[in-house]
Amino acid sequence: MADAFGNGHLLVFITLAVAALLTAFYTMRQITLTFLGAPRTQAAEHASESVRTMTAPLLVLAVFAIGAGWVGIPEHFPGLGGLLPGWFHEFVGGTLVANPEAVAFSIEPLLVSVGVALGGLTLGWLVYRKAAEADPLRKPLGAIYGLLENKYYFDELYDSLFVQPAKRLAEGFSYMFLDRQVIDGALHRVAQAGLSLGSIFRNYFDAPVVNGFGDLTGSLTQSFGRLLRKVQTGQVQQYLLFVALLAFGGLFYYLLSVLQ
Amino acid sequence: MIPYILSAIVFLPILAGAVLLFLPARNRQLIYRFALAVAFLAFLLSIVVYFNFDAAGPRYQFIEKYDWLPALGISYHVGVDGITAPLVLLTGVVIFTGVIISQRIDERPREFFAFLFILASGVFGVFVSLDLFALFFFYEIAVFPMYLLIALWGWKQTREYAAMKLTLYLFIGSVVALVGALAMYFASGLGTFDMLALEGANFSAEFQNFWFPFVFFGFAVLGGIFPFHNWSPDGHVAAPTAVSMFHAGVLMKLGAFAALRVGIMLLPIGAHTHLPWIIILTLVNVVYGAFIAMVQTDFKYMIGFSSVSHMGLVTMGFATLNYNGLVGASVQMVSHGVMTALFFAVVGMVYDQAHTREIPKLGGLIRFMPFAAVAFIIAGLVSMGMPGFSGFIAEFPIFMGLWAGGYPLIAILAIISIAVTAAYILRAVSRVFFGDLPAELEGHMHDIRPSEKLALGVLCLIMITVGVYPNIILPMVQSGVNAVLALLGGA
Amino acid sequence: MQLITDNILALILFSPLLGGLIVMLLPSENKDLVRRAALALSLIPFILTLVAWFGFNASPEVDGFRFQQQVAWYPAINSSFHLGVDGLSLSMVLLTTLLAPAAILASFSVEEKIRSYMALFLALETGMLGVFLSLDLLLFFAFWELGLVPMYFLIDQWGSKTGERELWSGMKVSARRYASFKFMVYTMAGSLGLLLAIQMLGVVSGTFDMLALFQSWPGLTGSLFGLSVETVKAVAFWAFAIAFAIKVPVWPFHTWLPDAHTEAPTAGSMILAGVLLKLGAYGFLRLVLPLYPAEAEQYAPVLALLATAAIIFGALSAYGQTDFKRLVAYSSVNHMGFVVLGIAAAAFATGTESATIALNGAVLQMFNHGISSAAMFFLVGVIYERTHTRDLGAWGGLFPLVPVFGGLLIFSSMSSLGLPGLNGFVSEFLVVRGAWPIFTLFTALSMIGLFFTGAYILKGIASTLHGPLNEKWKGHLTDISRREVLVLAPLLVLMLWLGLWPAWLLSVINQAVVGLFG
Repeated sequence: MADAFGNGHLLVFITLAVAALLTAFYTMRQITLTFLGAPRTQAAEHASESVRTMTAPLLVLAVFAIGAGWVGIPEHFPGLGGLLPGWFHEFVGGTLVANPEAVAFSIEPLLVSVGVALGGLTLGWLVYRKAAEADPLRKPLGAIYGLLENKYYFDELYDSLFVQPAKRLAEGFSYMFLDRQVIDGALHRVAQAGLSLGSIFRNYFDAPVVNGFGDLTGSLTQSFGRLLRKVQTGQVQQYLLFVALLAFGGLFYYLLSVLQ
Repeated sequence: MIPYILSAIVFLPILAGAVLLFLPARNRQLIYRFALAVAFLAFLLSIVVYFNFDAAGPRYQFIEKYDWLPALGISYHVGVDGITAPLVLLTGVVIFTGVIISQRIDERPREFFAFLFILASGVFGVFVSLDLFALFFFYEIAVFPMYLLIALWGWKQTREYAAMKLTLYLFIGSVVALVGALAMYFASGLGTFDMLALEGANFSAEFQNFWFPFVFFGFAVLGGIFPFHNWSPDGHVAAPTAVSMFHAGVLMKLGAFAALRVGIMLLPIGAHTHLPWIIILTLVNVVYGAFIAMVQTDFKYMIGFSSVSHMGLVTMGFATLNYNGLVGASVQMVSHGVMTALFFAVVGMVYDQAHTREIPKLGGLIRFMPFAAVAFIIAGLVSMGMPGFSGFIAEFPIFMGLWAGGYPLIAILAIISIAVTAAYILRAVSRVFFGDLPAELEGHMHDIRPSEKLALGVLCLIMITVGVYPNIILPMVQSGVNAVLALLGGA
Repeated sequence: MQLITDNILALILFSPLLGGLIVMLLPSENKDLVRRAALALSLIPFILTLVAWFGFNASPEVDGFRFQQQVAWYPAINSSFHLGVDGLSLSMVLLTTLLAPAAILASFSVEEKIRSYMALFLALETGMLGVFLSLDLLLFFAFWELGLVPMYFLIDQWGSKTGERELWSGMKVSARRYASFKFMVYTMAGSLGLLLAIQMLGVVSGTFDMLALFQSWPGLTGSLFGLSVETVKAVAFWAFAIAFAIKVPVWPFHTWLPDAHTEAPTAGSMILAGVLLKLGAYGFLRLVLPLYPAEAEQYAPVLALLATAAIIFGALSAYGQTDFKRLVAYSSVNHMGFVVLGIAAAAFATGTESATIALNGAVLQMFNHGISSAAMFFLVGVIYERTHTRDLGAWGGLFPLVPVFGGLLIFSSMSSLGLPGLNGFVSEFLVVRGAWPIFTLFTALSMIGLFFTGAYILKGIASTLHGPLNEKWKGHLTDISRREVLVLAPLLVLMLWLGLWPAWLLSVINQAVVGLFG
């Protein structure tokens, strides 16, 4: 904040100040709702101190939470500056290509940040100290409260923009359509084609044509035989007639060839 | 060199058949045991021939030659080369396992085994004949018992039709081939039917180009070549189990082999001219047969069409007229013979108990006949050309032969049959042996007999051994193939 | 000892098969005996592999391969039984012999037909090892196909009992029958092109020996079968590529994988994802790149595109799953996509530094994915055995009930996700780093896949372990047992070890990669 103010970036300064105010506000809201006032549920009534394995690390963290900032107090800070070596500036600044100069001290950022912090805390306590089940800010904020409670609906947006289409792409398109219908379908159709080909070979060619041809020769032979049988009448006169015809025919032919 | 062993192998079955007819018809045990002993003896003799064949030795071994009708130049001339020695062993194996499987025949077993042995003699005779007349003689001896065996002991629904069809097709085929053979006899001017002599006859190109189709197709009908293949599925289905084993396992090889022996080896120029278009017919066999097999619901028809498809590979290998194709075809004859004998044996065992061959009506049989199921699975893997088994050892060089022979398109089309075969085999295995036993079959199914397990075991052993250690058959086959290539002009 | 080291590869290769035969001879009633015997027998190849690993540099290097053995097998067509390893294949052999005992230990919960199960498993191990150890093309193909048979039966007989798939015209088959059939027939049909190309190579070159072919084939010129050699080689390249692409699997040939992995028994899935997929990638590295360097470079962008599609669609489909096992199955498609991306990048820019990095990443990813997917499938199997469901929606908040399981699941998931510090990150990073300069667009697009990887992994963990406890499971779940932790232990150790210090493996891989591709 100091840097923003010192370099004249007022919009940044104000934004940071508002953010700090809200931070203090919600922190106090949290503390007030959780630890202060009357218990609101059964579980809250029976809550006990957490085990040492939890409190010990918390203590350590608390020390750092309070003390860590002290390491970065710039030298020219009124009162506190110079008490502890402000090596943090050098520590970080030394890694940069151009070691930046610290901003000159001005009282406005200091007053604003302290004021915002304390003010936020107070405001939070005031709003929530008598809060019952419902959040007291719900009604006044109206629709905005809903927006905030639902995290600006980002999750829902992501879900409909990315997650659902991805699922459809995955299950619907890639698996069910491409793999099962298109590729497997093609494979099944090849198998069916093979079976049909076999059927066609057998039922439309092998059985009727090839088999049929063989059977046809058999039946033709039989028919021919039956036809020829008719010559065998058993009548001697008919046989004699045939012999006579053949004999005369042969004689005729012989005479003809002799005469040529 | 054991003298007379080939004659012993050829005549032992038919003589035993004659003896059988004198045994009392009612003593089934004696009949079966006698038949089994004879079959086992034939099997042993074929093993002796196989393992005593010297792959580095002369082209034909165990030769015997006696004059028969010297005025016509007909002699009894037998010998085996590198291609036929394995086929003799195959016949020995199939007759032995076939007799074991036939122990369940209860109607007139005496006549059944007698005719089966006549068939076996004929088959042995064709494989070892080196005289054209003798070859035809034994060929006819092999064909006619088929009629009786199918018509009398076959599946009642279609046996007469199938028997008649089969016999007529095969006889007509042999007549056509005989005409060609006689043409060769007369045109050679050598006055002999001896095939080794005819190899050097130097027939003119026109002669060869004209007569080659007669001879080749005449015999290839027995090999199931398209479009003359239809006797085979009907014949298989109608025939009793052992006859189906013989039919698909050995008889069809007879046809292909004779087409090689009489057609390709004696008329090489004709072969070079015609086989490039005949190979297309074999392609049809391979692919068409496989697709039809896929849509069959009758277990036996499925295997019958599978035989049409795999025999197509044999003729295809021969048709490439090169080293790889011929080697592959020769191994395929043995591999497919054993595999299909096993298939039919198991189908027969299933039918005996379930009285149905409809695949949708079978299921869960592995629980009752685990040995048979595993044997069937192994045969199934062979038929898909799975490496580690004899089918791969056979099919791979056939395809190499297609590439080497300049038939890349045929190779690409033919390989589709492997995928189709895998599909229908897996489907059948899964439906028949795995899954649930249908309600109608409850209480009917039990395990197969130990002797039957022995038979299946022998067949599986051969398929696995050749698959893992191909050198057990290859040197022999290579020597035979090299001789054929020499006749073809070193293709 | 000398006898062992001289024949170490043959011993590694056949000891599982022999073990399987021994298992078949044990009495089937004594289930414990069968299980323990199978486990003990499966440790033998692992120990032998370690012997080979530590003796690697001591063995002489001939043409880039060590421990070579060659015996006549099918001399009639110039194929021999030729074995040999380099860093690439030895890493894969190590992966296989490590995962097999883990998978067998994981299979102790199988109750039916244990003998056949264990025998098939051991036979499968031989099949897979054969592919990695072969230096003869015919032998390679033989083992490639052979490995399919045991897996078919494992899925068909011991796969998930429930579930159905609809075919057409209302016809339905049991899910495991559908999955096993699809797996076998699809892979076999895809391999037919490979078969034809191998036949053709053998005929044209007069040999099937890989070392000889690497010398003679790439430089072939002139014409073949009436076409130019370039055309023939291009067709042969695609024949090889498609067969391997189906196995890896590369999009769009991947749809057999979700079915097969999901319906297979737990240990079957572990081996399927852990090793079998690597056979395809290995085929690319061992055969396609050395035999067809020009065609590989020409078509590398196509391969990279398909790899990227695998990465993206694999991740998307995984994210869309409700079945945990199927989710993990799709994660395999996703991870193997990185392998192929690395290979494609290396093919396109052979000899550059980035290509070497990408290739190192690809091979390491093969190893890493084997480890992490085996762990993931096993963990899914653990929870399935207790809850008899794989539906993500059926669980919820199970972490307090099964804390150890939960912890291990999270650990393995993080490895699968590629968390830095664990093995997945190293390999993925190498691939991305290597592929970026070569195929910038594809690599960038694959980041979409990586994004969804995070999504589906977290979906898996969250649905199972986090959130409100599903009361249904209270009191019904036992935590992961000691045996189950033992299965995972070596995998977890490797995940961490390779994540923090991958040098021990990367140096072996790098040596091989640099030696092969310069």
